[in-house]
Amino acid sequence: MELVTGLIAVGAGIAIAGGCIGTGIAMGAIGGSGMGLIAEKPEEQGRVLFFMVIPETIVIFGFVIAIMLMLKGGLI
Amino acid sequence: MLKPESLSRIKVIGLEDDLDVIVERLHDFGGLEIRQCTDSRLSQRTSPEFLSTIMEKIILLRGIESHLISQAVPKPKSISLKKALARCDELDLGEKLEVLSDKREALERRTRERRELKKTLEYLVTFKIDPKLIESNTLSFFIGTISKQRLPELENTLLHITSSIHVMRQQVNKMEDIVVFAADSRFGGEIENELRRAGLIRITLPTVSGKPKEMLAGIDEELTELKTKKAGLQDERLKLSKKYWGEVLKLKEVLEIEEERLKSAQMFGVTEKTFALEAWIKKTDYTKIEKILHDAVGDMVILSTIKSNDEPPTVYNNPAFLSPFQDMVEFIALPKSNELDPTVLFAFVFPLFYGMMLGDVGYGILSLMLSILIIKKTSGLLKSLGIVWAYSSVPTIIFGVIYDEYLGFTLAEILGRTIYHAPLERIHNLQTLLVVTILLGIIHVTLGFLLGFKNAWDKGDRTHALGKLSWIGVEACVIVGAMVYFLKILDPIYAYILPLGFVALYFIYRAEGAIGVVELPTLVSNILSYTRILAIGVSSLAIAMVINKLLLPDSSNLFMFLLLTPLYLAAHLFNLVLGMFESLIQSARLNYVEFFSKFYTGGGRRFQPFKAVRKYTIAEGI
Repeated sequence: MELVTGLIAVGAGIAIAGGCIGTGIAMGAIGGSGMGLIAEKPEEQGRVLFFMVIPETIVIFGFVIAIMLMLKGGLI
Repeated sequence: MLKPESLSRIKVIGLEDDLDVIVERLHDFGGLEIRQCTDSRLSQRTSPEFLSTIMEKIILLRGIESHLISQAVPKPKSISLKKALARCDELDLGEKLEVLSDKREALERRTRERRELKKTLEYLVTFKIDPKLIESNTLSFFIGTISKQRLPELENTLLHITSSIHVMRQQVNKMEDIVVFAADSRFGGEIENELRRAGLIRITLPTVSGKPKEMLAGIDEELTELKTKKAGLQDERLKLSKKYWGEVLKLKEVLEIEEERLKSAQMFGVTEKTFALEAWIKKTDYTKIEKILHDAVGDMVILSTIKSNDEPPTVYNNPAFLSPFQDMVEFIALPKSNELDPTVLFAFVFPLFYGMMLGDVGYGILSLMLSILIIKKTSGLLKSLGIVWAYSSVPTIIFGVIYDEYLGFTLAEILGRTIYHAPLERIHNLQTLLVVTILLGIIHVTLGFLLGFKNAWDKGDRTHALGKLSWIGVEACVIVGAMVYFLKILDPIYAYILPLGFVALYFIYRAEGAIGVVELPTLVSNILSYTRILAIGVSSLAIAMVINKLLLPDSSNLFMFLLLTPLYLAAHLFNLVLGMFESLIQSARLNYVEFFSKFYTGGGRRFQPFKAVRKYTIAEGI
């Protein structure tokens, strides 16, 4: 049982980590292009900031899976 | 409020002789957007010659304005166009100010030259260089600034050229020295090349007659004299500014208003004796305009509503206190005049989501104080955000009470006794909150589809309207399927409604094509996206709890108390600012992406009123 609980915790961690890595890669790509746009058009910085946060849904998926695992495993 | 103002296109037909008075009255009213007359039976009005006269006078006044120093403007009063033009001709300020400006420039130039010479002479005094030597044919002098790092290498190189070279140096700053090289003039050319290669910034030595120290004293006297003269010119300029500033602004305003009126008339259609103008107006203003026209010219004018293929411009129909939320909606796009304006819904839902995320009484109060500071000290977009934050701090405090969170503590922890039992403590009710946020997502997304249905139905597009309703059908089937098969909380008999999902799928395909069908999984991701309300809220709470656990000052130890208090406050301030920004961006994002995408197209054109903007004058007759 302890092994199962431990594996669930690891699984939850992987779920969150995977989401964060995916989000980080996506936001890095968008942010890099966004900085180029801001360098030419500073007035677009608000819009760039908005587009940068769109991929954060990916980390939310990881969070939801992690929460579901932890609830199922009785960790919370 | 849910839709922009209703506009109609009007046509005003009047006599050419009455054009000026009609344009003047409509301009002062300011409720029309004049458009190009589309009646092909009429010719386009040509630009009146008078317009170029007006524009010349405006350029003259702008030139005068640029030379004067701004002053306080007296109370506005009315000036007629005739008087304004006459006064422009009387003003002979242009030449006077140009002479003053030329004199000022000459003084500035002389001051700069004297300062440069003073600097160079100071170097000669510092290095005790006899000016007669500079004129000598046997010696070459080079003076300039160079980086300290390059100097040793440069000296080495110059010594290879000739051993009869004398170097004097003095520090200018940490990185640079000022250096004088004096060498046999036979090697002058080679030395000059090396100095250029090493990056020496040369200072040109002037031909000096007399002793540098005496010359310096003379220059100082001259600089003082120049300063006095410049002050005198400035006084003269200030006197002229005090006398004419207000008048120049008033004349310029009157002429600019007339210029706008004359330019607008170029959009009218004309015959020999009549003119026709077309404009967009708010439907509610029709009676007012009718009265204005009849008061101006009696019955010699026809006002009628016409049909148009042009897209009407957009005029918001929201109360003034919603304008910060309007700015946030416009961040995506201005609504079209014939679609729903989401500002009111945004103004209700955004603070709700924000409050659910930040959800802390202490942070709510602090964010309110911070917002008030931002509102007082800033303007424009930042001020709008400050107002939005101020509104949103109210649900933050309410949810803080519901979650029992007070800067990361519970009220019982602060007071030492239980006052109330929190209905929904976040840390202990994650599963419940997960369900609540998903339910919120379902409601919000469904509302979006319903609004999309209304938009399409109002435009007469029945296929797309049915498509939007079908999305709700698919959504319902997904929810029922999940509740029957995964969560097992619904009787399996409900599974019999699932085939209706295929019917809904068909209508989606009809309305949106294959892309609509391919986008079906986004429904699940859109709804699950709302769980970020829980994620961000819990992460903010977790940080607050860690700060309280690690950095809470202990009053029993004075040293630790003094050390930890600023750290504790700084950490909570950091968490507050992080929470405020994250909650703002994520709440806005949920509205923009998951909600607006269901019904909002945007891309409207702002209503540009034909309006006399008066700051320094008032309309005649008032």
